[in-house]
Amino acid sequence: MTEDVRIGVFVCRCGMNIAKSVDVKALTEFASKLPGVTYAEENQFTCSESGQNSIKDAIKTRKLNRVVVASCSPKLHELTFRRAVSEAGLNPFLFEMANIREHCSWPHMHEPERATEKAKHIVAAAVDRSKYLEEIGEREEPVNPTSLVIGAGVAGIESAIGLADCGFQVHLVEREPVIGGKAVQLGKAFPTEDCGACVSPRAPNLHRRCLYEERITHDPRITLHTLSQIKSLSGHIGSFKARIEKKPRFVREDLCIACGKCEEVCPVEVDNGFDASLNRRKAIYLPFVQAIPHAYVLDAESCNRCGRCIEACPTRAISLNETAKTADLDVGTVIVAVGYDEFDPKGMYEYGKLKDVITQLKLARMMDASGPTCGKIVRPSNGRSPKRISMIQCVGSRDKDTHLYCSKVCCMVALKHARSIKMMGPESEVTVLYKDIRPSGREYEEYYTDCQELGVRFLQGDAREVSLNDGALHLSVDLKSGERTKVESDLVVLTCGLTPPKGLEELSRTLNLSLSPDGFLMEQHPKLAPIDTNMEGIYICGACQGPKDIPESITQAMGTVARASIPMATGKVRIDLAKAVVDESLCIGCANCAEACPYNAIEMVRPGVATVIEVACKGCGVCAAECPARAIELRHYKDRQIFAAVEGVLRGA
Amino acid sequence: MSNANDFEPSIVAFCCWWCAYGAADLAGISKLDYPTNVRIVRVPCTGRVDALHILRAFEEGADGVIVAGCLKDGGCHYVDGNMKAERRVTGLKRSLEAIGLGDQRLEMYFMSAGMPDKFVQSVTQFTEGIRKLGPSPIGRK
Amino acid sequence: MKRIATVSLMSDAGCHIALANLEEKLLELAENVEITHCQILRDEKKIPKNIDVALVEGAVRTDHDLEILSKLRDNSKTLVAFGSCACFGGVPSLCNLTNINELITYVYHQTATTSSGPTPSKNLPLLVERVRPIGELVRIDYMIPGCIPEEKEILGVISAALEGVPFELPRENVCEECQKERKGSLSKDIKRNYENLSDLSRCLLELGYLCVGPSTRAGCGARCPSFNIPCDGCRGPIDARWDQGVSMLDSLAAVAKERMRGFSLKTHSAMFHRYSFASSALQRLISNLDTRKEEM
Repeated sequence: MTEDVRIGVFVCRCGMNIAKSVDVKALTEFASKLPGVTYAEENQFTCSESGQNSIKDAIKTRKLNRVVVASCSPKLHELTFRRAVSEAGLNPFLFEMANIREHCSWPHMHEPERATEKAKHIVAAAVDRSKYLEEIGEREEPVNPTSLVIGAGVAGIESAIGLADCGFQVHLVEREPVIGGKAVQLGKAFPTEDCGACVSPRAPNLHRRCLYEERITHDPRITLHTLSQIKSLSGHIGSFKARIEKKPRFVREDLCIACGKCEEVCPVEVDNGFDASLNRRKAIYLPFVQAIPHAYVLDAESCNRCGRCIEACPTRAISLNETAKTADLDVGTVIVAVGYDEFDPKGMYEYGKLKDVITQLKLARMMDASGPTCGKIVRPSNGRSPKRISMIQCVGSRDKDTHLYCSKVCCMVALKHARSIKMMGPESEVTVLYKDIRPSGREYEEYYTDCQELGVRFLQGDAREVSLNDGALHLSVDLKSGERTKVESDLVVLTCGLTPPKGLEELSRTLNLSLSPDGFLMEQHPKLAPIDTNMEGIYICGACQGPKDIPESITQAMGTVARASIPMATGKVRIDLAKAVVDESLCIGCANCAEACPYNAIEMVRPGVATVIEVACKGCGVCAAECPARAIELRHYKDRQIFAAVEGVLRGA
Repeated sequence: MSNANDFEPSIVAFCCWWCAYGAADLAGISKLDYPTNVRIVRVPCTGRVDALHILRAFEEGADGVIVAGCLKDGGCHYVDGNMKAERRVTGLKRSLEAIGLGDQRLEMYFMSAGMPDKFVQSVTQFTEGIRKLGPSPIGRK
Repeated sequence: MKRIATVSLMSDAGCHIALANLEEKLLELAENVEITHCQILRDEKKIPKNIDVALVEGAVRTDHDLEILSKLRDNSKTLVAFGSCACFGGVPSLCNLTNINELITYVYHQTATTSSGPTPSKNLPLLVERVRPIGELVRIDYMIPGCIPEEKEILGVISAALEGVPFELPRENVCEECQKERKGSLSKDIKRNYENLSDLSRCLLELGYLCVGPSTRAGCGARCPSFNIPCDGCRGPIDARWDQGVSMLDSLAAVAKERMRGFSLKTHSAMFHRYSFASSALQRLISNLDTRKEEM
């Protein structure tokens, strides 16, 4: 420290959150006696306006030049207090937080004496460290009013349209050849029973518009990139650089008129994934009737390169020589809306072995009037209509062997289908085997009552196994009551949970986002920042953040529009300068730091001296640890500051 | 000399801001129990943690030092700072062994911000191990 | 007239030879001060009283060294640590990686050219626990680093000490003075000094030689590298309280994983802490280890 420090310590009771297990009075007393501490007080809620005013007052009246707040995690309120301190005229980096809640009063709430002792150590460390803190400035950076939306399902589309409405440019990137995501496969969606392909009524006069055709393909502000995936993302909020790789469609979108001649002459047939393998498709195909972009696509893996489609095409739109392309996009914000996958129940309940054991997605395809069976439910084994249909709930959810979480929407999926089946054919027997029924959204409980009134049988228990017996499926069940029973069915439908989509882990690494314990993308904070992520400028929405239904996905998508608009509308973002800094007199020019930096933020601008590009530096400090001459330091995490924290936390009382 | 049964180890845990610190936060939010002996020092990335920082902790009386960072294979929020830290810790463990402190008093753990259980399990297991080893022969300065 | 005294503790007397090598300048100095005690210049056995400036060469190895040092400190206004042994422990402080018993056994009984006999002990002072820089035991007012120190620093510090004004040592590292070309990339290999001699206009560290210039205090004009000898750190760390080796060891271990496989603290400390082991971070741990063992 170069000057006399006058440290103010503010200990928070946080209602009872801290006060219950930590003796706040003793802690404040202890803090007041620490060397360098001029003033110490306790507050009920330091983050409140009165708490913050108390800090600001103390700074002025007691001429404090360092502030320590002992309260919750800095992840919550570091910015709050930095702002408060700055408003009182003190540089925000002369502020230090002591985490005595998440790291002390909460985990140790059964040991109040030891919690108080530990809190003293934590506060001592913060006080010691604060002595060595230095003023750090800020800089303003411009924000590119362009957004990258990854994923063109229901949520991604909603987000893209919303952002375009705000006047921003949008790049909508989708890895499939068509937009729509899973919603287009679902047939009718609850509770409004509208067609999954037309989910959102968006026009001012509330006409339904199938698949957003007008907005997504004709809006000049939205650029759609199908068959595209993001390969890398660099930069920071306001100026991200995204590299996307576009796989070849082999069919020119601008020339294809979707006449279907290529499909007619194609000799190759494969299982149709879109229709859950209920039918087959050709190697060159239109994903579904209302596909957007409305163009054929060639599946290079199954194509035998016979070339017949090329000859058949009247507009000469097909070329087998197309290669993958990369494009670099400059954007200011990123929205991630990559959706989910249905849990794959292979190996469970004879799925994969017995043809008549299917999933709800397959059933949805059957029930879709424009689907492979034209709306008729059939037994895949013999094509006949099933009279007895059973549904097993929670397959791949609430299960310690697969996924512990509840997938939220499956009850409604089953109820939706059960109700439709009964309404289409009242004589059919529908049995739903469940653990709990959770119709938690608006108008959802009514589905349940309807189903019961229509005669759907609800059995609470565990499905043991499925076996084939004389052409019928026998489902053995352990009822909750303790009885064992058997349900005979013609068709068994597994209601599978929602899982993170394939490739999410890799994407999270590309974008540097965290995953939750359940494998979905993690939000910054469930209440304070449910749409933000740990990366400033990247927002998430829809099922990739966790299982949810369509109304919720849309709500979250609209939320991303709001969040992303903030930096893009203000046009600038503040970057603090807590970055690496080089002492040129010590630098030997070995470039170890430049090599170690994961963001290429260090350049050897002149030989023998490293220079930090502050805008690109993300403040990790790896360079500082790698330097053989100890010439490069990370502001706010300099050696002296880290040593002080270590010494304080051990010395304590 | 204090009774061996009363020994309460002092453990310093260098936790990376993104993952380990977050996991510790979540452990607190979930009211999970772990030994109070563990004191966290926040760093932006475990890659920032220098051999000198760890040595200073032992000098100041730490009985055990933990370095906790993001999951390996791409989990690090600064790409691979955690891997650099791992290499550094491995090297330092050998030095500590050579000077007679043993290599069990320094350990590195990997976790994500969404893994409070891993945090709790790691620090608890480590603390109990140090408790059995006894106080650091270095003591306080 | 002001009074100067010099002593040699555990040392090779090299610093005293450096003093003698001041030649005419030493004569000039001798005209203006009284040299009351200096082994190479006069035959005086007792430590005099009322000394203005005392220069201490060498580190503390025996209890006799300790006695001389204490007496000198008591009798002097100003005390100067003269040379790297006094400042940081010097090369002999590498003994601290072992213990006294091992040391004596090896030196007197196990070297290839020793025929075993009784360990000498009659009329000999006892070895202290470990080699210590003098600053650990008494207050020092100035230091002159180097093995051997630079002429201008010897004269500069003596004159500053006589006047009672501060003397600033350079705060840069040796690389600042080195004329070798730096291209900005370190070799992935670590080379022994005799291997692959080529392109010697280039930075020796970048070529893969263990040059500890980056963590060594400047002031010598990077003399050794200018003769293509990698700096071995004789002027000690840039700040007396810093560690000279750990950072370099750390970062080189990253660059040359393969060659460091046979890493052993005992061999590699010589490379990175050759002159300053006694004041290194590792030493601080070892010494605390030893004292604690005594208590237990």
